[in-house]
Amino acid sequence: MIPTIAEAGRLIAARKLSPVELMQACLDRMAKQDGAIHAFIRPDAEGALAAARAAEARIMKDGAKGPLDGIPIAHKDIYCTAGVPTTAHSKVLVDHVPTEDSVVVAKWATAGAISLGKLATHEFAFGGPSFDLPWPPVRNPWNTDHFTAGSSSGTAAAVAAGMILGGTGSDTGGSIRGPAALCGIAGIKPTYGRASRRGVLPLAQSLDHTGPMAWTAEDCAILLQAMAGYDPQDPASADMPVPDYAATLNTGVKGRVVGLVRHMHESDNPVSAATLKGIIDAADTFRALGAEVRDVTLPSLAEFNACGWVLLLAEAFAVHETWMRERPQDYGKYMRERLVLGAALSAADYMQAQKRRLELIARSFAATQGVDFLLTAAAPSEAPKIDEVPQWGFLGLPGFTMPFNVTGWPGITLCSGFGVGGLPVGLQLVAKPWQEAPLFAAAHAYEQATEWRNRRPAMTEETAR
Amino acid sequence: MPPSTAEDFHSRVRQAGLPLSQADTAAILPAWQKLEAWLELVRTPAIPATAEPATTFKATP
Repeated sequence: MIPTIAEAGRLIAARKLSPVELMQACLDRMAKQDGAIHAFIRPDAEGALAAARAAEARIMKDGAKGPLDGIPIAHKDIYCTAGVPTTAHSKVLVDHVPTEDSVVVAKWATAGAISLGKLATHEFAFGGPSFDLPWPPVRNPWNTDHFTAGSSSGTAAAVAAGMILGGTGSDTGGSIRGPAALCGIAGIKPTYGRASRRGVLPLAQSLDHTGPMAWTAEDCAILLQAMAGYDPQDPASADMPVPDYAATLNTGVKGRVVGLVRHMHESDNPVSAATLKGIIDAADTFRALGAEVRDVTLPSLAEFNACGWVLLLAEAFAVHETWMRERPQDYGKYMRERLVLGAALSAADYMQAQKRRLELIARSFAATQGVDFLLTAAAPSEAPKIDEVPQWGFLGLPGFTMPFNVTGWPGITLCSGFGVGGLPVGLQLVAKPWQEAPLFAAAHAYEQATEWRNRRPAMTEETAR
Repeated sequence: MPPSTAEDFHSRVRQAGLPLSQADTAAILPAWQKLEAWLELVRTPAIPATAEPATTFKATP
């Protein structure tokens, strides 16, 4: 049985669970599975065990600092770590060793979380799945022939396989919520500006969000609590109070209004039968828990994706312009060729997209008056095979996650069942800006009312025997 | 607007300072043409020329 962060935190605080034994169990699952999954590009078993021993001695003497004390986590390899290479999974930064931790890495360490190392990502959180990088792409623990989605692929796979209890992700067009869906875990992209991005390698700054990924919504709430807050040195950071998420976690959805955005998953990008069933069943679950469910019409997925991808590609090229001119051969094919699209955009293209973004945000607010949450898909289906993922897939049918990077609204992915291939499917629950607390309460109520948190990948169950 | 030709696309990328081979141009052009269709969606219906873009700044931090 793999504990959640909430369970492990309670047991550690009560001195009924040894942080060393918890860490060793995670390392054992890593040793047995990661040769086939490739979630870690730089594991640090010795360092993690030493830190767990120190935490255990301190907790036995002084008590636990909080719910993350002694909890095994890991960081996506775009989060800078002092003295530890931070490569963005790219040859371009293969020798990059930061001198400071990113803000989120430092905050989690202060809370007592213990890192097992650095996790694989799509190259610079965008170019993947790629087979021409210094490390292989991550494979899905539910079936290693299949894709994890990206770019927080290492985090999603490592959480699903029980190698860590939580980890960092980043989300510019869906890089937390997509992998969470395909790997059957929970992941939240908080409101734009909720958590600092300082010390995290950028993809596209006006869309970039940092956020946590874990097995449950409750665990995401614990992790976000420890990473949220104003950072005056991140220009996007908002000086907003951070509520106590645990205090309202059990308040449920009674009296809340859930907006079902049917057109997104029924006509804009029709989802698989299993994904659709998951959404319909979730709407029924929320009704049974006391919420009102009503249909909501937002701008189309195509409008949101058109705007979002123009912004993302233009901003990403601006980040990589110098390297692309001086050492294009050091990028993988997918990343290099995607950046070329950004190079071809004009300044006028970019500014028109920024104008359109304001209009889409205004239309979204107008369409959701009196609505607390939006419900739609997080991904169209269960994971495809990794060697069948098209290079230009993001320019095909429009995705479900980009709309809320464009608006900056918080969105959480939850597991909502399993497809015909036995891999998980996910739903997406979205709230208005700064409403993470009620969003966690709704997500937690859904998870408590359903059975999807009781099942792990078969290879992970094997290691537990 | 009709989709860009290979020459149009090559010219845009060269202006950004990237040398692109003919083979690379041919490989990426179909993706660019898809992005161009999205650009049309971004620009339609036209937003008033006086509308403020999201990047407007404040003079004080």
